[in-house]
Amino acid sequence: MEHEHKDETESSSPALMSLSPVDFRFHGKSKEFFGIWIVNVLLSIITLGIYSAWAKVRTFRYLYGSTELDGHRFNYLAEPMQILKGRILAVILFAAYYWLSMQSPEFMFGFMAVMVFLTPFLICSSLRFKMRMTSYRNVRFDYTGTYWQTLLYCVVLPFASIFTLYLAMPWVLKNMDQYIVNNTKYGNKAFSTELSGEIYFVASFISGILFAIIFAVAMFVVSTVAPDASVSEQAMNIMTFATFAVYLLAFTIVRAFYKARVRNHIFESTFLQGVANFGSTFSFNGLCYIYLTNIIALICSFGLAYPWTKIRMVNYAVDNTGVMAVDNRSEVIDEIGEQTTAIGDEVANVFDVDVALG
Amino acid sequence: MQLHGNGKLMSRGQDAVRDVKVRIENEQLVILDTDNSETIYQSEYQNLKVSEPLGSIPCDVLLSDGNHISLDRDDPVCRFLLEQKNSVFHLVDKLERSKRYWLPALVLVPILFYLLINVVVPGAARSVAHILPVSFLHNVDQESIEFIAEHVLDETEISEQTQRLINDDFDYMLQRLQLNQYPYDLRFYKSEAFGANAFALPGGTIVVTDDLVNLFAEQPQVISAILLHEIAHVEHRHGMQAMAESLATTLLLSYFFGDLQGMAELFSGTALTVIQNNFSRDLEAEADDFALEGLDRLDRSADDFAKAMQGLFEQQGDAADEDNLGKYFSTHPALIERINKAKRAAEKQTH
Repeated sequence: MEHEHKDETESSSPALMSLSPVDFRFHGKSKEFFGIWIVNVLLSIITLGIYSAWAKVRTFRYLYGSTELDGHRFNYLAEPMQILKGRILAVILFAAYYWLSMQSPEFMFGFMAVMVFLTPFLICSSLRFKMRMTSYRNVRFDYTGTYWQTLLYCVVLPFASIFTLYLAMPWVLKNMDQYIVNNTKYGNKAFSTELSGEIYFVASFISGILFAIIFAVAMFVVSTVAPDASVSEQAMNIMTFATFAVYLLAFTIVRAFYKARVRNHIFESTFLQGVANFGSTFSFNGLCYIYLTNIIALICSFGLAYPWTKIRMVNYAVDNTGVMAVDNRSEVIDEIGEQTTAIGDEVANVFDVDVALG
Repeated sequence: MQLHGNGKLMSRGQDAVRDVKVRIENEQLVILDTDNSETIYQSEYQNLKVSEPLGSIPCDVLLSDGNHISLDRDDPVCRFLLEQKNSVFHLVDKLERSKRYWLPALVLVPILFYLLINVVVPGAARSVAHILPVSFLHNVDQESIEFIAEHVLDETEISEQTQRLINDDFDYMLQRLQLNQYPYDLRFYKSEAFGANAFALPGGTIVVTDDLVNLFAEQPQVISAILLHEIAHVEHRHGMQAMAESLATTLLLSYFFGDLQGMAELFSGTALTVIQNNFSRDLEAEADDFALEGLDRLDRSADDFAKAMQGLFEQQGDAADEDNLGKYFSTHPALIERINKAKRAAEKQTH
């Protein structure tokens, strides 16, 4: 089951093919995206949220369509109705849960149990939807993870790692990422990756230490400057707020560190059989600077800086992602397209509902 | 008529992307080679599929042979092809692209969102609350009282006699005011958590704490005035309204801010409490009016209600040092106003 692509992998290891770097660029502009975003938010509010499905499609289409790889743009193919159905379903479920738990508090515990078993299904559905709606040169991406494997990798293992006092968590995260990448396909070609547990352990360990240091130092600074919390209600509130701010700061810095490390590793060890290799040059400093300035901009502008922060982030990601593709990629991709259309389209659109729960 | 433009032809095979010239002439879209002007493709443009306009993303035309041609947004041929399509998204696209609509949109977004949360949602919650059958409300009561009793309520220590006295007047009021739609049920509990207080559940269960009974032990008519206020909450279905409203607000906020997850939780938490406070103030005012009117119809003095508020207010004050009192005022700015309103109603009665 897990190794069904193994023979193909060995026969067409990309190391044996001649690869050359491919031009990858992003054309999105903050100003332009701001116009699109603000108008769509307004229409969503006027229509009590119904238009938000159309807004999502326009927003994604803009971001995908502004991303150019090798002279071709990416495409976002989702139909607003698919997204709307998913949203209506989510609203009905949420409302039903709320009403039922009002009638009977015991219901909540039953619901929690159901949620555990529903989670893999939701993860699978949303990943599959996201991948199938992404296309490049008329070939769709796909996701082939199954319910039981997702239950194992995304629910059971993370839960089990609690009993190792989270010491096994890096290994769990490594397996989760590896499972997702290995089940992602471009047409009928699977991405494959072999991740290193060591890198995850080191990244997680340093992240933990870094978090503790930043939190301790920042709290020390806050407590010397801030008034004594036991004095008054107001001082207590200031302290609560400061603690939250420090937590956010520490979390953001650590997230930048972990993300840079792990993303670079994933991209560098992933390839698309017989088509492409990838590289990533995220840096802790660069990512940290973007994350922190984005948060400040969002807070100071009451969220209005969102389009600017989004465009910045995508720009950084595209600038720091490398794609090396085979020289005869046009033919290879055409071939993939021909082999895939026959299978893909009939399965699509039947169960393709964008499941959006939180 | 003739239009000329440039595009990128995306086809299969070796030369996957090539620059081409495009032309519109007599109902036809013609694609030509850039060098020798040899015609590569020609067909009626009416049946071609053109992508919706969006920002400066090149427009994509699906040709009848399965290839695509990509044209710049401001290319005359692209503009012409888009004009042929009648789609609502042309209007959306116009709005998105013209800066003069940005400012009105910026002003309208917060205003409309505010209206949505403060006008549309309460209105909808009110209608929903009034549609629900009484049996459903009663069911909610049964479950909730069991749950609350288990966690924050203890057995009452009020004497049987006092309980009967209050209960008899409660029944008398209901009868006189002809309120018999709900299965009213008055219960006494001792509670550290609630202090001197009374609250109503949606289906007609009304809870009075021992502390409240003891606080007004000498003035049973004041307790009755408080009960009238609680009856009002049941009659107006305030409990259900508050629940429906908090559900709708939570839904709306998570629906609109779902993408900004961390921020959303922070925001929805604070927003919810602010809204809930405002909301309950409106409902309290409505219940106060009902109680004052009820007292008048029962030929009792509205002053009973003023005394009730005053008593609760002083009791809060006793339990608090200065710092706490300030906080109490900030959360109950309307309390003084409520006392004054009851006093004014009492004066009117004597004239």
